[in-house]
Amino acid sequence: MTNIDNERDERDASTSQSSSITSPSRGESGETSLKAMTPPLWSHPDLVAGVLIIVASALLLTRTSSMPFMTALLPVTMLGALIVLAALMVLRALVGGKGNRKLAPRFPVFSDAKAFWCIILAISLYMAGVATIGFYTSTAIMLPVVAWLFGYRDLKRLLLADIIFTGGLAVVFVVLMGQELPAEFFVR
Amino acid sequence: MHAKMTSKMAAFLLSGLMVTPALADFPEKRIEIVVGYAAGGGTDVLARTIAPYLEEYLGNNASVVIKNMPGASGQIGVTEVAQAAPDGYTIGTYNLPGMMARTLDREAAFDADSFTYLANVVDDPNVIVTPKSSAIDTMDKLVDAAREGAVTVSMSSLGGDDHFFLMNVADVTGGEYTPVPFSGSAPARSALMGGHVTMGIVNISEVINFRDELNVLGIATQERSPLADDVPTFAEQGYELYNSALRGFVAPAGLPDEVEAALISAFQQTYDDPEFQDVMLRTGNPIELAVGEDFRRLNDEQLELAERVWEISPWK
Amino acid sequence: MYASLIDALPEVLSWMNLAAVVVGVIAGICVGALPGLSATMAISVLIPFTFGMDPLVALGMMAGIYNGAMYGGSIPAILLRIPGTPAAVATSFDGYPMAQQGKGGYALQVAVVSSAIGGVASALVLMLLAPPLAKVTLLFGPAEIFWVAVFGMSAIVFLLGGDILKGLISACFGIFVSLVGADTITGYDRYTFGHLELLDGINIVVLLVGLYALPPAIALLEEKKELDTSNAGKLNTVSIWKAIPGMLQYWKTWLRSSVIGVFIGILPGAGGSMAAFLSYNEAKRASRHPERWGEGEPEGVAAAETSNNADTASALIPALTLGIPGTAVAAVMLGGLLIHGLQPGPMLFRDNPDIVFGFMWQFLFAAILLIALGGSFATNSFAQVLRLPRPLLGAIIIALVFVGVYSINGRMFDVYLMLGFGFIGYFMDKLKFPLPPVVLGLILGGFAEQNLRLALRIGGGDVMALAASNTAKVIIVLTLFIILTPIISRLLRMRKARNA
Repeated sequence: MTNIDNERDERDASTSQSSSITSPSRGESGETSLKAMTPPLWSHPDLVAGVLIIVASALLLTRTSSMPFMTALLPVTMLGALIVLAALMVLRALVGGKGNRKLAPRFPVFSDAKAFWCIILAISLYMAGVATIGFYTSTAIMLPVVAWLFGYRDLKRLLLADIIFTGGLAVVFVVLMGQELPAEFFVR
Repeated sequence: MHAKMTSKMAAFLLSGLMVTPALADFPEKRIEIVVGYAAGGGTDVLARTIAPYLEEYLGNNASVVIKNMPGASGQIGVTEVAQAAPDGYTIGTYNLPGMMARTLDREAAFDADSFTYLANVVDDPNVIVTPKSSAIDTMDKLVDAAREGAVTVSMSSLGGDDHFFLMNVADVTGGEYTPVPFSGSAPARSALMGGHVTMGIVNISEVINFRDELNVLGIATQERSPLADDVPTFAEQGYELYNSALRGFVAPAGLPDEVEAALISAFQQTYDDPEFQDVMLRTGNPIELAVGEDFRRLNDEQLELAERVWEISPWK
Repeated sequence: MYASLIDALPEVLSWMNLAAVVVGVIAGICVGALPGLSATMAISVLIPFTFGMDPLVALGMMAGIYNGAMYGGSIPAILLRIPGTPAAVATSFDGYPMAQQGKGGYALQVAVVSSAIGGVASALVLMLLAPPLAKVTLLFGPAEIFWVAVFGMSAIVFLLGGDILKGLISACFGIFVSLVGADTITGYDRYTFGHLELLDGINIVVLLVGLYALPPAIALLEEKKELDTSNAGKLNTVSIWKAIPGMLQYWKTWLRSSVIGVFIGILPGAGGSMAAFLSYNEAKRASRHPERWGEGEPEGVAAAETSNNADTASALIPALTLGIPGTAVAAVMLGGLLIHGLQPGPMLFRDNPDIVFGFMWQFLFAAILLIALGGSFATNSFAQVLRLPRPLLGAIIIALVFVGVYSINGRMFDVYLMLGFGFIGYFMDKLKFPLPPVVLGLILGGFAEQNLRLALRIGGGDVMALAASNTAKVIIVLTLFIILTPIISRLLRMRKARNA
């Protein structure tokens, strides 16, 4: 899940967001450097994913001890199968990851790691916003900000889309349906 | 020191000013009924049916809205009620014996003392059913079969009224019963109708639409039910078996007396309304009102029953 | 019974009730087409709103939404590879490649016509055969349902994709997720970590939206070539009525998929996606050129879309007669009946024939209306939506998944869960772990387990009791047949090749 290059990018991205995401040259140079150097074997995505699956499954397995036999049976079978399958995948990555790329091809995990972590950050902020200051307020802020940050710079249309979308949702949910989405801070 | 006193006094006076009129003409804002199930369930429909009557009898232009908080067989909703402010503006639906059983088999954030018991409205007695094709069509035949070898029993879940009733049946009749807990009464009833199990335990409201498909061996009440007066009680057949599922309304503990009285009186007036009685009968809901202390006593009885079963044979 | 069917018709034709169906179908197409929103969510939002309405108006809207959403889900599945509903997963297998080849417009037309045909077949079965089919449902006790689940799981074999190892990991993950929640048979909680919200298990919509709608939204924002929407806007504009004659060659697939969809619908609990997966596989097996499947074969779209609409009305057969819904959406819809005091059971047909039979007519009308309303107008307007600038579209999808998941149960917890699945789904997608096995695993894993254990309990622990009934034997033979035929035919072909 992590990759040396990307870790650096991540730190980079969190400090200087807006400038770094949108400069295409930096993203491209990152990619070419990835191609040029053969990355170390341990960073093979299959290997990392496999190890993570094994660790997670093992942790989950420890919780089956307090369950009755029949309740625990299928979870133990599934987690056991996951561990075995993930171990096979790790093995395959170790054997085939170096030379023979057909056996365990390396798929690129991030097309743009900085952008990815920025999106995760944006979604987390949005989530926190919905839970604390309310759905419509957060959406009205998130929509233009995210679209702007990720490259759509037509301010007039952006605001128009924002009003149509957020307003449309409000009309459908509040006016037509009387359905409650997380309440706004100013009406609580 | 002096300044502090004055400010305290002021605060006291102020709060007094604000609270007293609120008590005098409760309700002065909208009342929320928290329903622990999704819209369209039995409990939800009960709450929605009763809401306009409550608005009418509370007077004061009261507005009563339903808030569905489904999940964990009603536990999420009832926890919300237990933890709400005891001002009468949050009340909730309450199912027995389920809610009390949860305090035994799960970590619950509430217990019997967490609530002000307003009114129990629905009293849905248990019945024992067999498929129409089955040769077992009386209690005596069933008991004989159960004494010869284990009888499979479809029911809706563990730790609910069906389950406690089954424990009672096993106790009173002797014999061997294998509980088969389905996830809900409809699948339990269908498995029975398909002949996949020998008998089923459900509630009377769940069989009235299936009278041609099922034998109803008996009903667990003192007197026959107006919903199906041809079904004999178990007592008539010599088995002292009484049990039912209850649906009512509670508020958080510590409700001001005036508010409690206002709410209980609204429930009483609703229950006495013939129109309400008619709606409930038409939708197949057997009703019997128990308010305040009587409801609390019902709750304690159910808790005691659950504790007894839990002690003898914990279901988990 | 057929007399009451005719008697119910005039009431349905009143303009209020017709308008309800029309509004429902349009709303359903929108809900299905918008990534993140689902029929389950739309109907659960609608139900409390309909309390106090005339039952037929409420039910007409629901029938419209159900049918509309089942087709609407195919629009983003075809144009963006984001299935709008769980049942549209199989539609994306061939629909998305078609869109990439510039045949998106045709794919959508095949989808809408197939949906309508499946829906009409299903509605006719509901109208004409509900009581006898309810008896078929009763034949399926826990043992038989367990075998049906195993039968459905055999479809996983075909969904594993190129990398079997990763496919199996996906399937195991899906089955594991299905086990979260209270084990109803012992009462113990599994992997709920003290969260009451997890006791009832993980809702399929939460998982689906997380796995399928969030990663593409992230990809849209990343603005790389992963998600190609350039074809989305360029739909051909041949009129749907001109396109239909060319589609008649799919009649066999339509017939087969309708039968599969109807049959899966009357079985309690399996529903939608399983019907689509199974009929996709069956159509592929029957095809003369199975190698083209997955690469833009219109017949694949036809198979999946016919059957996911063919189980809509038939899923209501067990719901109306027995109270056990055939699909997740029908389960929510049952609430829509109950809220009007319509208790399921044989008495319902006697006490409220106007409503029950009127409801069936509405299903038929909704299915027919699909062609008119879902044809060029709806698809073209959604194509416009998908032509929005990518960063904007990405942000809109993110907001929509919040709405869609929050509204199901009205709680943030489901949103957090969905985001977690989205995170996992992003990496699964990038590392080429196939997603369909996760969906099928979640639908069938816990379902199979629970029924197996109920069956064992009924049989007193005797394993042979699982195959005691004739129904069970038939399904076992069918399952073996389906699993073994490809193997045997391959062996035969190898032998022929050697002899030649």
